[in-house]
Amino acid sequence: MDGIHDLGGMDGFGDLPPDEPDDASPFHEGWEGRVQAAYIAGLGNDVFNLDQFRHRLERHDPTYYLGTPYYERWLTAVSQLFVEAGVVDEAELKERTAAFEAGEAELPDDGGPSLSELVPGVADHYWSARPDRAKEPAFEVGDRVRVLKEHPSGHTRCPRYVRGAAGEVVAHHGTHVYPDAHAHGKDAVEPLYNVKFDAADLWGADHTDADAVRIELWERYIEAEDE
Amino acid sequence: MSDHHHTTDASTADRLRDHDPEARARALQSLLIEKGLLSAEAVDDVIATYEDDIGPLTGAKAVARAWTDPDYRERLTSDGIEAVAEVNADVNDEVMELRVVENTPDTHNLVVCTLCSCYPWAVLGLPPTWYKTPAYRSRAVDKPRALLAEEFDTHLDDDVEIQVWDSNSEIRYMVLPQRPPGTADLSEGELAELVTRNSMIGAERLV
Repeated sequence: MDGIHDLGGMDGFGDLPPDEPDDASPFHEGWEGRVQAAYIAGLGNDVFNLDQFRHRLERHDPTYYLGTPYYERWLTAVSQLFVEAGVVDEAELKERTAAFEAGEAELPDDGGPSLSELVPGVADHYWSARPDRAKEPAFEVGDRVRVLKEHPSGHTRCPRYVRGAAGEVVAHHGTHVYPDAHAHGKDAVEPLYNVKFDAADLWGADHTDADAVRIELWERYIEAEDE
Repeated sequence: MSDHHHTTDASTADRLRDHDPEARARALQSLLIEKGLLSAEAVDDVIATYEDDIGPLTGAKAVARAWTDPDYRERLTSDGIEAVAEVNADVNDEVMELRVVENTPDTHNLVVCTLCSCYPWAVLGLPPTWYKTPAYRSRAVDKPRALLAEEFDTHLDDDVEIQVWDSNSEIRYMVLPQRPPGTADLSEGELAELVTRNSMIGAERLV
């Protein structure tokens, strides 16, 4: 989808926040670690996959997306995914939230899986290569390809800024899960390539100070340049 | 379990988003624990893992070894995650595919995820706040030189090519920075102390 998340090349977002020390905690508030744990529980119990998670974040309205701290957006997306999967009841989540706001609830200390029991499921989700379902690649290293100018309304990992541009295949990574299907609960795989673009072909020579941009593109995103 | 289905952004879950995130996070955690999907111990371990165990130090150790051991450098740049697991046995080499891209005197590499916040977390820990901001994600792919100069005081010579890696898949990227001059006498451990998180993203150079 052409959502607000597709930020490459946009202007006007201003300065970066101050950097943090290398050993700083990644969590600014105590609850942010709880959100990370809920995300790990979602993947580890196979309630949702990475592409469903990304697509959930992408569907937040642009004002919320840009105006809300990172882990608060994650909390919203993860909560929605658990509710949409029918694992957590929405009314119950609301009631429990109100109870915690009123200081009338306590966290249970018993329960389900340990982190080490969740990790294998999480790792499976991050491992997208599917060599057992290898597809014959249509392109090889050195081929010139052009990115299709398509604007799907669902999830895609093909950012707008490469659509219509031509580049060179510089690596073939084998066959991987195809995110555009996977985000919608469908099982599909595609050959995956790394494609190198001249920055001038993406932005215009006068509007970039980069030399090259490299990105992974699934086979369905591209065609031979001369077609 | 509920048989309710909510598929649009107008669902009540969106109204939940206006509540206190601390209360929302605790409520979600308590329901997940009650349903047997999470334990309090796992939550504590997730926080401790990302605060204490997984961080840029792992990447720094891999870089330092690559600077001192050509065979290791070869392994690191061909099968990144397995080589990283050699310097930190806690790294799960089945959790991500890692590509390590080398800076040279005439090429500089920079990693970004324009679409979300993909990052080699198994090697560098969770990303710093700036990496996740629209300001970085928007600008790194078209004006990286100006961005690095203005935000990181990293000034690339005009004859150094800058190559930007937009990390949009489960293949994750880490930069192998150049070894700083005048470090021939340093041990691997001392070299690792010179390697910053930002140099392994490509926001800084060490030379």
